[in-house]
Amino acid sequence: MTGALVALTGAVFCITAVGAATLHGNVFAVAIPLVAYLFAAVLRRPERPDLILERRFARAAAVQGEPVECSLALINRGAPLDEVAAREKLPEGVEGVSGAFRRLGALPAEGCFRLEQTIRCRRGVYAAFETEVSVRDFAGLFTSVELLASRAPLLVRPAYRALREAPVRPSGTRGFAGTAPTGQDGAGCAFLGVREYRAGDPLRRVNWKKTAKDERTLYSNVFEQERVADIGLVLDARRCMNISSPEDSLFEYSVEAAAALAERFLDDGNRVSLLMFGGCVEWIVPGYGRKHAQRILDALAKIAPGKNYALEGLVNLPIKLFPAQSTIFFISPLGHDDLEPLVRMRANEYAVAAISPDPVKFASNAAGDSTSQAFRLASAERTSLLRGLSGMGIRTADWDVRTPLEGALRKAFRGKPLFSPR
Amino acid sequence: MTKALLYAAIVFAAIFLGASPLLLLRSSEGFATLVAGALWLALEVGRKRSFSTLFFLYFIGAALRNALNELSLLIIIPGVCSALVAWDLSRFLLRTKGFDEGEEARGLRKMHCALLFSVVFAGGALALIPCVVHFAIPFPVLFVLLLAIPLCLRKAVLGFRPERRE
Repeated sequence: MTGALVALTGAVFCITAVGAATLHGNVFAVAIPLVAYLFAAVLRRPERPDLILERRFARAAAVQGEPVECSLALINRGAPLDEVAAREKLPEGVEGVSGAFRRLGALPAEGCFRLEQTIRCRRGVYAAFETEVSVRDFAGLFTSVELLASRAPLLVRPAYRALREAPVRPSGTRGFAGTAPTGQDGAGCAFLGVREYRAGDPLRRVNWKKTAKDERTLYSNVFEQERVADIGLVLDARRCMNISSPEDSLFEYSVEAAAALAERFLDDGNRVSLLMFGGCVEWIVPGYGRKHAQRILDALAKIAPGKNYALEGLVNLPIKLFPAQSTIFFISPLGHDDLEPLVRMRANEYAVAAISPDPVKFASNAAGDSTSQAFRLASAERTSLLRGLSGMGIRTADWDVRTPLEGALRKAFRGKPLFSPR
Repeated sequence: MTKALLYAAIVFAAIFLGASPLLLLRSSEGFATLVAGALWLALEVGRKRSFSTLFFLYFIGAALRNALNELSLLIIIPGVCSALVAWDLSRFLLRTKGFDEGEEARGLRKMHCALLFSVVFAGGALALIPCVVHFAIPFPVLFVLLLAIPLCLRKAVLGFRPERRE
């Protein structure tokens, strides 16, 4: 019930009461225009508006921060409506870039409003968008407000800066030809060395320059075998580990690192799997190729930090899911309790490396504090943690998230192979 | 256009319900109505917070007082109709504030003004019938009419219930 309706009906009843009390004809006449207005409003009031909202995105999936075109149609399937106001209620993480986000007009039967708009979204899955639709009679005395949801899911994949080269040489390789150097001679492209000619070596491999210096022996060039490797990515989505500021979240950087690594290793022909743990455990089975990269990016689009008491420590982490001799990248801000499970991974014959977005620098940057005693203590504690990891043969890329990931990886790994478990 | 109509309606309402009684009945309340009209106009021009309902009720009260003071219906009814138009347009402008100025909004404005003026004109014409045709209603008929009005407003009263859709 609107205030205007109360005021109008109140005025009509007061005038009628005064007219009845005084039996004054002119007083009744004053009420007639108001009653006529009220009757017209009653006759034209929206009776159960039958509205349908249809939303279409230019594409079903987008990349974070990329503009997405969206078209919205509000269709009236019922009686004509005098006044319809549609207001878009964008979900959290979505911002309007351009176009129409509110519209007002009259909707005839089978009439339609069209809103063309461009939005920009943060990483995530947006299952439903809501639009507030207010329907009124011409006088605005009767209002019906509805929140219409349009089921048009939009998947927003993480944005990341592509890595130009693989950060490490994977230790364990598989039997198929790939791009990961194995350190063994065989069919390959990378020059490994020179050895004495053996029966069966093709003549084009003979190193004539070296042979010319030694009259009695033939020498052959040796090339390094290149194979595919098994790469496992472990993404830490525990809420307790991923701090966030009102504008930013450290977890987004972990997701960015996972996406960049997955794409790089898959482009190099390796077999990549992804294990995410936080609220629950999600496992993307090992696979190759562009489709698998999309599968991983889709999983990364959906993941959000969560809390699960069973997974607060890494004791229950199902690390044996990864194929034997995999190279595992553990992407996490890291805590002191994570040392032991990482060592356990090493004991299971995995080559382990950690990529750690620095939570201390992230927090100090968000708070604008890099000189306080608290900051220095936290930095010292983190340095001690990383040294402990290094002492156990786990190389760690300490990533200040304000700098590109590639620089941190190059500094930590320098293209060398990870320490082989064998 | 709508704003111009609103300002004109406020001025007409103030003249009919304030200036006329001031001149014809020498009533001091007419001056207060003129001041209220000026204040309403100033608030609408400045687009400050709208008190249009309060001003509307005040103008209806002034019309009631003028009717009790035997002022002609030919002055009161145009005043009431003007106040009604001003109140409606003020609320309409408030409702449509912030929406994009498109083809639909222009169409809505035209349709709204057409509907409003036709309804107010019809109501005013009905109210002015006693000026043309003099008739007396016996009390029982009046009583029945008084009962009929709330019955006819039943639909409106039922509409007070907030609608909830499952």
